[in-house]
Parts: sequence; C-alpha cells; structure tokens
Amino acid sequence: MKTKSIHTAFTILLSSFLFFFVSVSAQSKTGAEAAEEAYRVGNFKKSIELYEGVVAQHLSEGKESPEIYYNLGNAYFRDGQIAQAILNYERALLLDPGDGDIRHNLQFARMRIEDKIDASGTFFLSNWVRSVQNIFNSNQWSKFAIVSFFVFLLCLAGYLFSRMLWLKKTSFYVGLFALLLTIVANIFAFNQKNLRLHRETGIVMSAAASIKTSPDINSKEIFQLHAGTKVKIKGTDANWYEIQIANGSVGWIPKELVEII
Amino acid sequence: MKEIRNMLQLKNILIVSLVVFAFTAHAQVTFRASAPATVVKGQQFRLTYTLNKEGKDLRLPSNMNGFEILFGPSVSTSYSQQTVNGKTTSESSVSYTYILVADKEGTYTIGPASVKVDGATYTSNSVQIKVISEENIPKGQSGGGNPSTRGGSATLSSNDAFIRAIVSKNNIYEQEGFTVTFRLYTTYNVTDLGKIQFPEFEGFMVEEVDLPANQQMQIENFNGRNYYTADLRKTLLFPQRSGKITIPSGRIEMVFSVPSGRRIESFFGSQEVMVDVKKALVTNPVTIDVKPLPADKPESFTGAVGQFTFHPTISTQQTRANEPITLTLEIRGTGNLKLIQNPKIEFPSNFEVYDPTVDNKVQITSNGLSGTKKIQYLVIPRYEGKYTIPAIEFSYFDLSTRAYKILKSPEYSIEVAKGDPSKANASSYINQQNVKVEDDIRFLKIGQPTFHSKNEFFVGSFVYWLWYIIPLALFICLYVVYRKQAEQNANVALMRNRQANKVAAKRLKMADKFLKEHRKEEFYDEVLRALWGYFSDKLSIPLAQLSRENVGAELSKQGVEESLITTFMQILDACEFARYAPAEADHAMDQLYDKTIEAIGKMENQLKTNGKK
Repeated sequence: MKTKSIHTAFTILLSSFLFFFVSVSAQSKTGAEAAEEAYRVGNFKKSIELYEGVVAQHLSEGKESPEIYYNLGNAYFRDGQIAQAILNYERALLLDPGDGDIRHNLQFARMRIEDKIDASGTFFLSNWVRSVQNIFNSNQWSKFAIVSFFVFLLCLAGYLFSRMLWLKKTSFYVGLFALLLTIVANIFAFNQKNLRLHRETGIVMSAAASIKTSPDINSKEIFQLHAGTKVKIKGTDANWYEIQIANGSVGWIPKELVEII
Repeated sequence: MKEIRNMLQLKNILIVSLVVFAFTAHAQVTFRASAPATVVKGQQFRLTYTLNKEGKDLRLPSNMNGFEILFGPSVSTSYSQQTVNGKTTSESSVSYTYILVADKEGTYTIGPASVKVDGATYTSNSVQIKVISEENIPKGQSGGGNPSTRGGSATLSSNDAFIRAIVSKNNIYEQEGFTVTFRLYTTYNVTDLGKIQFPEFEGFMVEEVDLPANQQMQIENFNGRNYYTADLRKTLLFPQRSGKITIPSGRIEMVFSVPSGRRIESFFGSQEVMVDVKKALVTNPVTIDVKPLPADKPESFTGAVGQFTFHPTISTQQTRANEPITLTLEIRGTGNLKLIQNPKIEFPSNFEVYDPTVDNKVQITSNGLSGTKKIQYLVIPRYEGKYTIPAIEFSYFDLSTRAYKILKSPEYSIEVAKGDPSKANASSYINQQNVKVEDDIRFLKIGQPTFHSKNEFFVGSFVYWLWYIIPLALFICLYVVYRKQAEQNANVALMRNRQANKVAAKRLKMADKFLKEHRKEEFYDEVLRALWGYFSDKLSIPLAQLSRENVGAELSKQGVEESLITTFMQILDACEFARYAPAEADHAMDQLYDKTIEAIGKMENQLKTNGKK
C-alpha cells in the first residue's frame, strides 16, 4: 500500500519535472541562442543584454543555470567589465562547483583585477576538505549519498547473510566505508545547499571603494578595495555590510558598492 | 682682416707662372671651378679653375653678368711626388685664378668653363655665388683701408660676435626630423677656442651631421651687417614626445683678436695693435612646438614617420624541413629610419625563428635619415606541411599628406617537403618544448543549459528521506524474516540430531525382528538404512549426497576417533558384502547387530563429550 502511494507520487513528480524542462527549453531557445550568436560575431554588449534578459526571466521563475551565468561572464569579460564577469563566474561556480571551465575562467579573470590580497594561512586539511566538497553541487552530493547508502545496505546483507568468511570480511569493511561516505556526502550536500541558500559572499562592483572602520560615512578609512574583489559578508547594519577579505581584514562598506554572488 | 688682405696681395705677387713640367699622364682629367659661396658687393673675390693636366685654350663662360673680371688668369702649377715603398707617384695640377668683383646683389650662376687637353675639350662645373649687400652700418674694421674709429678700449660687443642656434623647422610632428645648426657669427678673427658646452638635447633622438674638417669662413649678412660665419655643430634631431620642447642655451668661450686702438709705425706703414679678448658666447634657447601624431594609428604602426617604401622579399617558398628560409624586409625612404621597430610577423608556430638582423644604411640629411633599413629574418621550418605567413603590414605616418599609410606584403604560402632525416639528426638535437599555458578565457558553453531551482533542493526533501527510509525498512523486514527462517531451520536440525539415536534404535529394532525371523537380506538392508539415516541426521547431510568417503571425512571433522570410523566402515562393508553373499551364519548377524549398537553408542558418547568441550 505504502509503496504504491510513493510510486504515484514519483510519477507525478517526474512528469511535472519533464513538463518543466520542456517548457523551459522552449522559452530559452530564443534568448540564449541569440546571445550566443551575438557573442560569436563579437557584439558583446548585445550578448550581455540578451543573456541578462535570459537570467532575469529564469530568476523570476526561481531558476538559475550555471551555463548561462558562465556565458554571461564570458561576454562581460570580452567587453572589459571584469567585475561583472567575476560576479557571474562566481554565480556559475556556486551552481556547478566542479566545472573546470568556470574555475579556469574565474581564475583568469581574477588576475585582471587591481587588488592582490595574500590569503591568510588556512589549515591545509580544511582547504582539502573544501576542495573535495566543491567537486559536486548539492544535488550531486545527495545522489552520491544515496548510492553509497545502497552500497552500504548491500554490504550489510552480504555480511549478515553470507556463510563465506572472505565475503563477510570484505562486506564488513566496504560497508563501513560506504556508511562513512554516506555521512560525509550528506554533510557536503547540506553544506552546498546552505551556501546557496545563505549567500554570504559578494563582489565589489564600484571601481574603488573605501572600507571604513564603522558603518558611518565619516568614519576612518582602513583600506581601499577595487572592482572585482571578493568579500565575505559578516553582518549588515542599515545600508552597510560588514565585510572580511581574504587576508582577514574586516571593515564596513556601503551596500550599493557590493553585489551579492 | 688686414692680415688676410696682406697675405692675399703677397700671394698675387708670388703667382708668376711657376711652371714645372709633369711627366706623368693621368688617364682621368678633372676640371673644377671653385669660388666662395657668398661674397659682398663691391669686394674682390677669387674664382679658381683647377685642372690636373696641362691644358690650353681656357675659355670662360660667355655670360659673366653680375661680375666684372678685374684680373686674370694667373696660372700656377703645382707638382707633388711621393715615394712609398720604392714606388713613386706624382701629381701635378694647374690652377687658373681670376679676380672678380660683383656689381649687384642677388644670386648668380657662373656657367661651366671649357679647356682643351690633348685635343679633347673638358668643361667644368658651374658655380653659384650669392652676392650680399654691403653693411648698412659703417664699421671701421670691415675694410682694410678704413681707419679705426674706436678708442683705446679693446672690448667686444654682443653684436660683434655671437652664436645662433638655427633650427630648420619650428613646428613639427613627433618623430619628424629637423636640424639644429650652431653658427658662429663674427667680425673678428678667432684665435683660440676655450671651453665648449653645447646644450643637452633632452627629449630628442640625436644624430650628428658631419661637418667638413676644414670649412671656409662664409660671409653672411645678418641684421644688416656682414659677418664671417662658420658652422660649429650641426645635429639632426627627432623629437620623442609631443609638446613644447626647449633646447637650452649652450656656452662657448672664444678668444678674438680685437684692435686695441693703439697704432704703431712699421715697415708697411701705420698699423693697429691687435689684442686677444676672451669672450663667452651664449646661444639663444630655441623652443620647438611638437605636435602629437594623430590618434587613428593603425595597429601595425611602430613609430615610422617620414616617407617610405616597403620591399619584402622571401628567399624561397618551396623548401624542405630543416632548411632555412630568409625573409627580407627592406624599408627605403627618408624619415626616422633608425627608430623604426621591426614589423611584427606571425610565423607559423613550429617555425624556428631567429632574431632578425637589422642593417641600417643611412645618410643624414636635413629632413631626416634617408637610405634603407634592411631587416632579415632567418626561419627554419622544422616539420613538413603547408604553411602561410600572413601579409606583413608596415605602416608609417606620411609627413607630406599628414596621414597614416599602410603598406602590405603579399601573403606567403610556403610548402615544406619532408626533410632529409639524416641531415636533421646530424644538425639538430631533440629539444622538448614547453606547451604554452593557456592565456585566455575558454569559450562559451554550447548546448542546452541546465537549470537549478533557486530555493528547492533534493537534499533534505521528503523524497530524499524516502530514499533512505524505504530501502532500510525493506532491509529490516528481510532480515527479520531471514532470522526466523534460520531459527526454524536450526531447530529442525537439532531435533533430527537428537532423534537420530532413537530413529537408529527403531530401525535396529526392525533389524532385530528380521534377525529373529532369519530373513537375512531384509536384516542387512535395515542395518544399512539405519546407519545411513543416522549419519544423515547427525551430520546434517541429505541422504542422497552421502557416500563412504564424505561420511569418513565429515566424521573425522566432527572429532570422532579414527578407530570408531574404521568400525563404522567395517560394518558398512560387511553389510554390503553380506547382502549378496550366499549364506551366512546367524551368529555373524548377531555379532554385526551388537557391533552396530555398540558403535552408535560410542559415537553418541564421543559427540556429547566433544560438544561439551
């Protein structure tokens, strides 16, 4: 009885997904392809305009595409708007953290910005964990978790039901590993989800922005940031963000100078 | 001045046909006319024709208007003989000198004169002479006979001697060449030079113009006065930036011979005493207005300004791998030739390109450097194939049209045949090349974009948890069922094990009945069945799979003594044998029966003790 109801729920879900997809592809055909065409002939301004239209349209439907963001970033880059390019690459990367093209273009664009910040030393293990976490996005990790959970169950069955000693042994160790993977993959999946739900990084969009000691225009300037620099948003106060940059420095910046990724 | 004049007169007296016979006969005949470029109206000057052979019938040009011949020709002959390493060479020359005077101001040309040498007629070059007016301001020292009006002071005013910096153009483009000449104007004799300090040419590329080693003083009228002039330095300058650039003033110390105003009586009459006066002459600073080049520079523009032609040539277009090709670019013309950077050539990436050799053959002119710049590229194609060198662009700023001009070479297509492998091995070593790191962004992502929901995620959703809960629940159910089944199976086996003895005893009872009835065959059958059944139950092996061998092996595995196993085997053998044997005594059957009961009993004991252990 129970399985049947799940089955029906599944079919409904699947069909609605399919419907979604079909309707989306029908819409995006005009915008994205025209933008791609404009990019190919070197009309980057036009390409940007079209891609922005596509992005805005999908955002209103509550959807985002890493490919569109990436292509928009490319158009901005070719047009010389590095900060905008970085912003869109970052957005694309958030959706598809394992993509090599996005990563490469983002790194390349970062070399073109004015601010060079030496990242304060982070523990190598946390770097390592973060880079593993960035192999997949949230959905991919959750699928991975389910697969490893199935492997775990299979190994458990092997361990419990088998009479052969070697099979019992292998099943035990593989099962243990699969269980560990399931847990880790779940943590990563939730982390990735949180990163997207609570977007706590931004890109400085104005050519130059002075970072103040407090959320007050008359307060002392600590340092200057330039367009394209990535900042972490720690808090807000009226029209100000409290930001932290890669070397650990903290200060306040007016909200309008920063665009949240 | 007076001294010079005295010398001149002395010379005139001395030139009284000093004829020396020359033996040598030169093949080449030169006949040249020479005269000062500038003369003052009313003053005498000399026109000299020099011939390196003896000639006759010298004829002056018929049209000598503007000049009046006062005296001439006076002929002088010089002869020189040189002995170098025993070889004697000799030269002789004849010069005919006329003394002329100009009547009117202006520029006149004295046409070629003709002379006959050994029957042939030779003509000289023509000479251009500029006649300037006499000084407006009457000055005592300009003429030899004029008495000095000066008093006793031996000073030098700034009008008597100065240096001008003369620029050929004031309003120019960046990189356009112009000359600066430092010219000394003096009315006195210069006897000595002191410290010379020419200005620095900041903001310019400087090319020195060579001046003749011993130049004659020229006469020039400047601000109504006639001066003797000499060029001290001439430079060709190329401004390197736009804006107003000032050439600062230089400073040169000179010693002039100035009349002191005292007179002494001498053999030649009353003469004025000359004293040396040292004076520092400062040149005027010059400001040059340099216009920047127009902004619409072509991409291939590398700073060439002037007028040029472009002559690209390639040594061959069909070659073999590892054989060199020479690509020569020749830029001819006038302008800042030396400053032109080499045009960019995009050779195919697997050509080995050597640094080009640049050969400048230039002459310095007042408009800039003129000549040719030859850029030679040596390239070696390393692999066979068809390649193209795209059209090479050379662009320059044309000063006459004030616009950029682009000159293009044709596109060269090069066919490279397979090279001689032995040659390649001998001449080149294997050098691994680093593949360049990509230095641009990658291309667009083509194809259908994927879409992710902004706020909905699979992880944490109801369906997501179902994926865990359902399989886990199924698994637990399966496990429970399995456990129960296994429990039941285990119970059955236990029962059978426990009852094996009883079953065996039951069977043996049947055998006992057959024994008493002397039914031999049934007896042995029953014993065998009892034994096999017992083993099957005890060892949990299905009856069909039992055999003598695996029973023995299984029993020993269960820890049954070897002697007991042998007993069992003997019983089995005996039964099998007796079944088909013709007759058997009753007591043998009795014995076998007892033996079987005893063996089973023993085994029960042993299994019990083993189990306890």
